[in-house]
Amino acid sequence: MAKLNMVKALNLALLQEMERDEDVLIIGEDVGVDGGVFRVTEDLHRKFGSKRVIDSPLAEAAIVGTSVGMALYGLKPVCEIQFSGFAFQCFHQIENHAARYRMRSQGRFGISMVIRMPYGGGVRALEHHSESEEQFYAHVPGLKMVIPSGPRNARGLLVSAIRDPDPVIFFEHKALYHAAKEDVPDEIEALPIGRAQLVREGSDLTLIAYGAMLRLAREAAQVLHDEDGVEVEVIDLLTISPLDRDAITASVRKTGRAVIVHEAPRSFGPGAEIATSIMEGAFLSLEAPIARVAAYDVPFVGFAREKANVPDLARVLAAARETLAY
Amino acid sequence: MPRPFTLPDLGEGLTEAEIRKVLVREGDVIREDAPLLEVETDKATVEIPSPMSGRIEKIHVRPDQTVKVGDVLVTFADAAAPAGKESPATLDPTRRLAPTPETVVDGGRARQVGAQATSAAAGSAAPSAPARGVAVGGPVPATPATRRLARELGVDLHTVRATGRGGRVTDDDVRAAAGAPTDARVAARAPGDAAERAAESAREPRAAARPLASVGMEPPPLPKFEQWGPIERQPLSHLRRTIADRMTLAATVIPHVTHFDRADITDLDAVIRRNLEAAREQGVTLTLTAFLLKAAALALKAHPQFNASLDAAAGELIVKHYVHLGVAVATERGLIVPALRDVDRKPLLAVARELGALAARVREGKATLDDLRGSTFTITNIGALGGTGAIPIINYPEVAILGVARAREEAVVRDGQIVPRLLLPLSLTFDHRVADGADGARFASDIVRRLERPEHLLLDL
Repeated sequence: MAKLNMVKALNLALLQEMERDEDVLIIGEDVGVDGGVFRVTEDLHRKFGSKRVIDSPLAEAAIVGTSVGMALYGLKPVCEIQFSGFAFQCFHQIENHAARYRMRSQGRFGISMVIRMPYGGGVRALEHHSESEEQFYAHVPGLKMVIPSGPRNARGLLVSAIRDPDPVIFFEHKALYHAAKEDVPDEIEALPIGRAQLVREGSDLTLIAYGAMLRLAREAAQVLHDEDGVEVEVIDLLTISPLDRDAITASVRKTGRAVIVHEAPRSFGPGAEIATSIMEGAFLSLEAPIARVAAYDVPFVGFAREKANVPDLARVLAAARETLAY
Repeated sequence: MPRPFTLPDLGEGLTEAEIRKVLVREGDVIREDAPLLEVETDKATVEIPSPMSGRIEKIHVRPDQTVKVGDVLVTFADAAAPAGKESPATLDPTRRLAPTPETVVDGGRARQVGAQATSAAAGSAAPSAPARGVAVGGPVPATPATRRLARELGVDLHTVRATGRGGRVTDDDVRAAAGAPTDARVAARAPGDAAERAAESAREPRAAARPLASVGMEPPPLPKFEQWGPIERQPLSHLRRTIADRMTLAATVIPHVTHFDRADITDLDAVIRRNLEAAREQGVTLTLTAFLLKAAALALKAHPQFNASLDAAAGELIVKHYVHLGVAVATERGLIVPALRDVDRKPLLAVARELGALAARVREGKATLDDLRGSTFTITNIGALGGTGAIPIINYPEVAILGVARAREEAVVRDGQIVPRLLLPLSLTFDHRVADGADGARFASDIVRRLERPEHLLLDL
């Protein structure tokens, strides 16, 4: 057991999976000698060499396209895209090929690969460095979409993503990389994909969040407990797709009220799908309309104004209180 | 903040109009689009509908007065949702709206809307515009959770007096409506302001004191107890009233007779004890009550007149071909009798499992209406609380009820020897109109036999 931040925890998952399975390899820009732009792949090149930790040219489509070929051959590539904002260069490879080979080959070939991408705002970065675009991937059948919220679940989910027989998009929030350290067990730990976690129990309201928004949801739950005397249940989705509808609806059947928090823009974002799932699974338990707290429907704003764009504690509290008072 | 409503531009170059009729009174609470005034212009007489929902604070005009476009006609008090938002079905706390879609509410009277009765929405419509009535038969504002409650309690939301924000029907409103006809209560209550109503609905729902249902006999007036010392008057809870009405009805209408017996459950007790652990592994707590239910259900198959209801008006006995057993459950709020379905057809373990779940739902106040209806015969087991026996009152409209007291080890003479045996006192109360003493005795001994020989329960004998 060691106290690790998310960067070190992800590094540990990669190291152990590469030791366990020699088909696992890493490919991306600066992932080798430099150890990755955020140092997630640090030391791996030294340990495993250039055949398993591959420095790619500055060409996202080539990174993913090559990986699709390697996956078809039976290898298990873990790609790194430096920032999720650049991923549209490789979206064609992801959507048209990685996501489709299982269907296209009528089940003969699966694309067992992981595409890691840092995402999210709040770190005063430039355009294309702060977006939350999980909804694009969550909407593509054939892809899994995973977003951890802390070091330990990041490690456990990355292990599961590498072992998954199908392509997994793995978002890592930049603000979480060095945010907190957590006890991470030395022995390999796999956290199942598709399963949400109940991180706080409550009876009055369900707050649904993931990634960096989870911390906000927990803070809001605590404030509502302290100031309003209400007990808020907090769900950490961890996987966006496939969505753990059972966990969500079970909670809302208990609380009757739900607020969804995400950093992606509001319209057609994950909140819409989550809210509809609640309508389908817990309609008759609803005491209030389901609320969404999300970024505004604008392209990600420059860093001087980014705090006004992504949800903050005040907005989560306001939505929660409005829902509770409905 | 009060909101003034001025004479809108009526179109066609008209700048003034004469008030013909004022269709509302000060203090009325009306909905958006309800007719407010009738005005006559050079061209036609038109009804001006209300631009918003709310309470009318002041009326500034009187009939025969001429007003200009822009003059203030009425002032609304700040109480309701602004026009254009979700329209509440009713904002008037004093009135139940008739559910027929043809009815409009015009601030005190309900009228039929004829094709010619209303016309001309303010501002835009020509006098020939189609009538715009306020149909109140549409969806009633209520959350899905409240709708479920209404469904469970068999309450039509259209008949419920709404006290929630924006004219919404609340859970308490539904419960109040389920309790009794709301008319009496509505009449007794003056229209309060929104804050008062909100505070009221936030408080513990408390039933208004009303006389219990009459059974055709007036008891003499009560003496003034104050003369002997201080007293306090407590309105009966909804549940207490229901129990009181049902008991009075049963005890008044049914000629009760009670038959006593005792069952030697020494062997049955051993069976239960031996299998407690095995049942617990299945998640089931094995109780005597489950065996009582099974024994009674099998006995009822052989004595169908106890699984029946008497239709006195028709002069017929209604024999039921299903055995749903009521189980009296003591809760903090009072006695509740949920029904366990088809006990005769279910294995004992299933009966025990369902009994546990049902009793838990009832104690947590989560029982649905379906849980509480349809029983054909009832068992009341007061053994846990002690006693040597009790004469239960029939759960109307059933014809019999089995009372069970605490089992005790007693000295019993068997084959000339005094031996300790576990004896369970039973009391079968039944409707003497339906069955005679001999029938009751045979039915009771059929239950006793099964309790004394638990293998008969296994074999459905």
